[in-house]
Amino acid sequence: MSIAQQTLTNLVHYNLWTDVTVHDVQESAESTPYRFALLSGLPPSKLDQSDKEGLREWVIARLLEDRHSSMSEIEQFFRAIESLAPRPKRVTLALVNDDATVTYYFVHDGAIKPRQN
Amino acid sequence: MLKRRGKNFNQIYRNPLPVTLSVDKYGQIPPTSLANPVSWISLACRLLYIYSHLPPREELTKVISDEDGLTFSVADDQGSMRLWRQGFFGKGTLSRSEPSWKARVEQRLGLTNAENIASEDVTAVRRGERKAFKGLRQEAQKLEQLGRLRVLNEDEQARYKSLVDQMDAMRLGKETAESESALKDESVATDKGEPEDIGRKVQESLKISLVEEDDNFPVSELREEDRTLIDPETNTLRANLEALQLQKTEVFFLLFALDAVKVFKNDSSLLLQELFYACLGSSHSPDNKFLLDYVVYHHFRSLGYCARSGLKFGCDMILYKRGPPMLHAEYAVLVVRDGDCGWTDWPDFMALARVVGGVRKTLVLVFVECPTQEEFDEILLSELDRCALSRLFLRYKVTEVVYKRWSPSRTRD
Repeated sequence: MSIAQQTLTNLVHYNLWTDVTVHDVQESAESTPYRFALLSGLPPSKLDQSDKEGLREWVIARLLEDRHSSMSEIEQFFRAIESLAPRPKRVTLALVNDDATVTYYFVHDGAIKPRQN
Repeated sequence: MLKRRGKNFNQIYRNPLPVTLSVDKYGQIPPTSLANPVSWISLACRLLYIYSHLPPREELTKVISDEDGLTFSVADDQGSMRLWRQGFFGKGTLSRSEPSWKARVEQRLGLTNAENIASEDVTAVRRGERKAFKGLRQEAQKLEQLGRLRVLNEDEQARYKSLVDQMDAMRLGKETAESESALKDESVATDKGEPEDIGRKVQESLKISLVEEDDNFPVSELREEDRTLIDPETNTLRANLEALQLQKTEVFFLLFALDAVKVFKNDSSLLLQELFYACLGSSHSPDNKFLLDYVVYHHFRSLGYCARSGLKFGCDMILYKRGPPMLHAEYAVLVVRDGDCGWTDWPDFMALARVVGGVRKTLVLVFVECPTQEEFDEILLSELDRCALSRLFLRYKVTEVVYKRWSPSRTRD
């Protein structure tokens, strides 16, 4: 199963998201090939208290094993979304492990006020 | 660190590995006494019987590798149950550990009357409580802010007071539950503060959610995604979307060390050698991450530990004394290539030790000494059967070091 498919199944049937779709991302010719897949969907409840109700969440699925990472790759996440929709304030990074665990992290576009735990 | 008691664990999880012993199949050896020659005969007969038969073998569990060779999964329920119950191999793709998705979904959609409590439900209840607390806190904080700007009116003051009281009650409830469970078993430190009455709470919350579903959420208001799962004629689930997924180290251990599985890719079965190369990936060097992990995995499995992925604690593996249902993992293992000055540096150990200390586990650094590239290449060039692979793994050396933070001021007299 591809990482996009694994993440989709996990979001829909484990985290109970709705209307999850996998997006085809156009890679520009000069940039390095993408190591991630792009998805979007609606979480069952707000992911952060300051979110607007019914906000569509962007998810970047990526293989955990693939240790390489860089600032330019994080920029690629946002570029890929920008080609489809306005640039979001944050994306959710889904790291897929080889035991089918998917761990989720927020990646913000710049510094934000830390949230109260 | 005991988790839950009063279950017949010894019966369900009788075999620590998916291996059938002669004793299981042919029964115990009859009692013998020196003074009774008849008992010698029956012993001799039994031994002759056992040695004249091949050792008992169960049918090999079928493991399917996907086309990219990224995942290994067991699709049939019987095989999944065998590998899970006998050694806790793999993880349900839609569960936290044991495959329980089908039972959970049936309960969520009200397709069954059975009352099972999955570990995921326990977590959900705890998270729900925390969320309710946060809601109260947010409202209270808003009132506090308002109070700094102007004097609160009577209604607001009363509301603020009741919020504070409710929050105090919630905090107090949590503390007493924790101290009660600590009192019940003083030697046991509660790992995640899981109170004993959590089972009752979960059952109550499940009942509530079921009642709500009947009254407020008729089937037509289910998620589109859920409706496609249910077969309307029989009112049951169409298919089990979950499979037991094995890590590379697990599947290789099951084939190489135990010979308990058969691995298929595109309908043809993989030889041990082919699986080895599939796990190894493109980097054919002695310090390949899979090789280091496997050496350590095999080492701890041989010592009787149950080793599982340590992803959630930022380490390579966590070690259970018996298995996840009975005890919390006691050790967190980080695999370090001896002499490596890569990302595993002393500050990294420190950071990891704090994380691992926070969940009351002991950090074990496992240093692995690798063979040289020449030795490695020489073995890989020969025919890679089980013998050659054993020879390769014997060249690795494993040393464990327990890493503990010591704070002098706290241990001073």
